[in-house]
Amino acid sequence: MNRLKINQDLVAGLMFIAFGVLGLLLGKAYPMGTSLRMGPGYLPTVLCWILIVLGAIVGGKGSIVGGLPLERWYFRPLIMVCLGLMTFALLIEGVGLPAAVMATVVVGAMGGQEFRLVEVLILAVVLAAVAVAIFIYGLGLPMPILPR
Amino acid sequence: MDLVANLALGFSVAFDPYNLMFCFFGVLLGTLIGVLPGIGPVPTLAMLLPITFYLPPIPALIMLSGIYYGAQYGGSTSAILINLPGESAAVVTCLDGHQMARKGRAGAALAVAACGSFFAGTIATIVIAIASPPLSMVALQFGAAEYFSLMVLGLIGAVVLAQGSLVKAVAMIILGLFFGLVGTDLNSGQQRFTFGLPELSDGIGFVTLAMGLFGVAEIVTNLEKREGRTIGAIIGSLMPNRDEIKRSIPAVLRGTALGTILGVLPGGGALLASFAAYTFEKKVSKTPERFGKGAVEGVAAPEAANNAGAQTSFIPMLTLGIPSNPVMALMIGAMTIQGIAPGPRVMTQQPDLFWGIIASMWIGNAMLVIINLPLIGIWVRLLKVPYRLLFPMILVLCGIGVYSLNSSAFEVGLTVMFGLLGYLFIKLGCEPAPMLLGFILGPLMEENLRRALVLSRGDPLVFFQRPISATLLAVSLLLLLIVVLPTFRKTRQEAFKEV
Repeated sequence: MNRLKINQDLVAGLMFIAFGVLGLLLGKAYPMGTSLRMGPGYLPTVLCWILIVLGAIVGGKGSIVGGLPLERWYFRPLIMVCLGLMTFALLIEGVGLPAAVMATVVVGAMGGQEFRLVEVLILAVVLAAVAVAIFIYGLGLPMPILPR
Repeated sequence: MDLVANLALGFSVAFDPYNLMFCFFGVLLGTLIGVLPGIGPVPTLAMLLPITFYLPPIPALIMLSGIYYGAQYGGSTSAILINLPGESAAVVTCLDGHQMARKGRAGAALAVAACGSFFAGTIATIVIAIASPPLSMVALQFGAAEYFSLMVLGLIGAVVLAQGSLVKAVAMIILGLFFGLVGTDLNSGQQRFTFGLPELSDGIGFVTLAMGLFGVAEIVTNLEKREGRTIGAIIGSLMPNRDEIKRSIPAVLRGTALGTILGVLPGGGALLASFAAYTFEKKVSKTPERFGKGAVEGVAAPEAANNAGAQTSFIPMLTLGIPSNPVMALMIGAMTIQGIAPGPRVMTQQPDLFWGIIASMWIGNAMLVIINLPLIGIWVRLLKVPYRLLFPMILVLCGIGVYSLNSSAFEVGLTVMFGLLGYLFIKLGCEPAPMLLGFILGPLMEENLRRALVLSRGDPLVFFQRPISATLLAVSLLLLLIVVLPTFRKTRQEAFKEV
């Protein structure tokens, strides 16, 4: 017997099944109703079952026929880019737009292949100034400039 | 009102200085993001959507459309000069365009691409103007059952014409439909999948979802690649020689025809059109061996086709309110932000908006030829901006864009989550585009499905008893059957494997 091969399709199938099962569990309490008067639980349940079946097809095909091998994950760009945006989310209301923009640029830039400190700092300052000029003065978006 | 009167109205709206300015701004921005590899029209539109809220509807939509077709022009520039598609629809232009550049014919390739696109854009504008009114008339007869069936057809079409595994694409649509259900159920007031969070009771914002899947995840995948940009090519004379002109004209005509048709189909648009046009051009050529070595037809046909396709994909969006690709899904979102209900009534209730957009497309195309040919030097210089300076900028715009929508830091966090999810999808070979379509259509489908069933007293046969609905479902079924046939699967794979 062949060992189960891990590949893109197998994992994708498992992912779809996981979403389906999760949806069924979370949506357990929603009333189903009838097809005449559909309750809020009707469509989610149907969709989750379809998702589980499709996941089984994708995953089953992946484990039997095989599929493309899993690709390498690059964690540094992934983590730094996400952290950069999280920084923005956490700071924008507390410290104002320019500071949030600068922090986002510095954190996000660490996800790049090269990190040149001086260049990043200049970029951070320029972008903060441009952002304030365009979004706050130009478009009048309701965002704080200075820390509250 | 006849065609001339409609277009006259459209041009009077589009020539309004304020609208003209936003049209110019849109095509300029479109060219910019088209030229720059690593950022395409979908994240750009998603980023600008919240800002359009502060504009009146007409200039907002004119600008957003300009970005999409403007990107088709810009995309060819980087494809030809540095062999990198600035925009995904320009992938095939790299093949022969860059070869021409290496032979010193970069200028000619750029000129053929721009003029071919302009011709295609003109024809596509006329086609939209002629085809839209009758389609809207038909759509006005649609009831809930017809709408539901139409959306089924739209989603299935999107799968058939998409790249990659079919089952995965269907699963992604279902996943999108599922995410579309999050929030308060309109009929019962029940909170669904909100985890008790008040921020989720209005549902997941689609800017949030689109920005995560197409903005954040794409930045990360771009950062994985090594940067290797060399602009070795000299642009040279912009004037194509006689042989090149002779070969280009029929190729542009074929590309325009193919692109115009493929753009209207569900799942269609610029990307599909350019691939199909290249494959077709190679098939009809008497000298297919020249392709890949700098054949001017290989630039002319796909460039005409992607521009035609980009524009005619507005037809189903404007007349039926159904998006055929992610960009159109975002356009629908832009209309909703402006308080316009997309659908067949837009044309009759807001003729100035409807015809203004159409007329602006032609004006925008004329501007694009000027932006792209005499000013090519500026874009070349821009290509030297490295991605490491670009991506923090995109990231900041993502943050500001999502935040400004509802002044909600929570939604920025949600975008991060969708970014992670999007990266997972890309790594597992699951296209995120069908998911966005499912997400947009999900709530509409549920509403129409329920309404149709209530009207028919719970009889699901209603979808097969009403002739238009039955036809639409039959076509959907036919499409699915064709896809399962082995011969079609082979040609479909070949069409996309060309590159």
